[in-house]
Amino acid sequence: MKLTRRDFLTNLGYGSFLVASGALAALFARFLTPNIVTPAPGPVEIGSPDQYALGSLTHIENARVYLGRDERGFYAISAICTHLGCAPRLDGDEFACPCHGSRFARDGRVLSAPATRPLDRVFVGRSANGKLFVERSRQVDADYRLV
Amino acid sequence: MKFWRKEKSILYALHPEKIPASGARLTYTFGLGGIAVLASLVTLLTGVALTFYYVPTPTDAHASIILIQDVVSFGAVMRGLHYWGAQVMVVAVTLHLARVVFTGGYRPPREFNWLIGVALLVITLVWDFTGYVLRWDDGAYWAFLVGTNLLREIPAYGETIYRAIVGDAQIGANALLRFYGWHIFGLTAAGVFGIVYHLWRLRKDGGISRPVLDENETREFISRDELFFREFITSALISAALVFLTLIFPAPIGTAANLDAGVSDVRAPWIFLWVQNLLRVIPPLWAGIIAPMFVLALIIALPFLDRRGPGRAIWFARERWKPQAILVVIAIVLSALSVLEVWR
Repeated sequence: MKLTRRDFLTNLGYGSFLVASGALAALFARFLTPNIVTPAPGPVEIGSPDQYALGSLTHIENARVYLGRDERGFYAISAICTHLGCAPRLDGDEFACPCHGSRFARDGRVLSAPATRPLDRVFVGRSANGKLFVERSRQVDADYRLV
Repeated sequence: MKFWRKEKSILYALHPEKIPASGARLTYTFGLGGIAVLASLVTLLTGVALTFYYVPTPTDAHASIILIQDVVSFGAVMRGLHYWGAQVMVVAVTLHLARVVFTGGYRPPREFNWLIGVALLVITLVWDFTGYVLRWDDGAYWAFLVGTNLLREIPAYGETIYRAIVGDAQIGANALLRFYGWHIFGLTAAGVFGIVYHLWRLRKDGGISRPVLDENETREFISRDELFFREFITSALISAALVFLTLIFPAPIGTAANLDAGVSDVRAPWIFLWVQNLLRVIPPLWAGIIAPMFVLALIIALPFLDRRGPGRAIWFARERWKPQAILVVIAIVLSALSVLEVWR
């Protein structure tokens, strides 16, 4: 089959249109993807250490954590389900997620699916004025304690 | 000078002079396509009105809906018609799809219009979900959170897709504004274009599907005026039903979304209850992305699984058992999963 000049130019025209359409679609997709996102929240102050009794586990809503205190010190368990991000709540001695039924032990271990990862541990610190703060963006391991 | 001439009305351009009586039979189409169009028009009209009071920001969205419900004159009616129009649209589009499968309406030359129709089903569902999110109440917020977090489960490109859709690293003001933009402009443009294309293509494909005639049969027709009359009666009945639904069952609205507090009971919008149920038992990528895509692919493929002989325009024709059986299985599985999710 011989390619005539007319066919060649026609195909070139269609081809250019196709490329330009693809480029336009890519431009739109890139436009929709933000270059700047809201920064992760900084430290949240959560009061003085003596507000939290030994052995307690307290829901701190604005920091989205449960603050615990045991004989080794303070620790914070993230109140964000590792399955799809719902908010697990304390149900007796376990965390229960209302969205898809995941359950976690008091220390954040997975007790029942669909979650597969334990609840994250979040950094707890003490500021210069002696108050406690938690920092969601800093993850720590399960052994971490603020003494 | 005569300003009004019936035969120059736009409605004349939109309707053929006559259509075959067999295609227009109530027990053949049940008027479902037309009902979907009417519901979309009601939803569109009331939606435009709602934009004048609704404020798409996390701090004001819920309060502006309460204002519409409790302070604005006929606000609850306007929002109720928007809500019920959308629900009727979802139901009518779904039943219309089922009707087309059970009567073989997708058969050549109508396969392309089937694809436009499936695209319209997807647009309708996304339209519905983006609207649900705009409530910004407790239920909608958590459904929004879960629905968008599912995008992150897509391998490799999940986070990029998430950000392109949500517009941020987490849901908040940007996400609400974007879903509002998609709801009132993006999906509306796609939906209106799709509906018009679907109707135009129906005309080009020779109108509503109908049985092949025997040699000694003659085709019967109904006139344009008869068609107008039937459309008018159907529209009046459906409009009345929408008003009754609105007055008896007000459009739901929960308490304002609280991003910090844990919630006790979270439920997906009813069209996605089956996904919520699947998410309890299988990994998120499979339950939330692959399973819906698989169902969609099956639906798209239905006409192409049926290449045999006649049977068009006959309810439950035996030679077309394959697509019908697949649709019945899909319907049973999705309904069972949804019902179990509600009963648990």
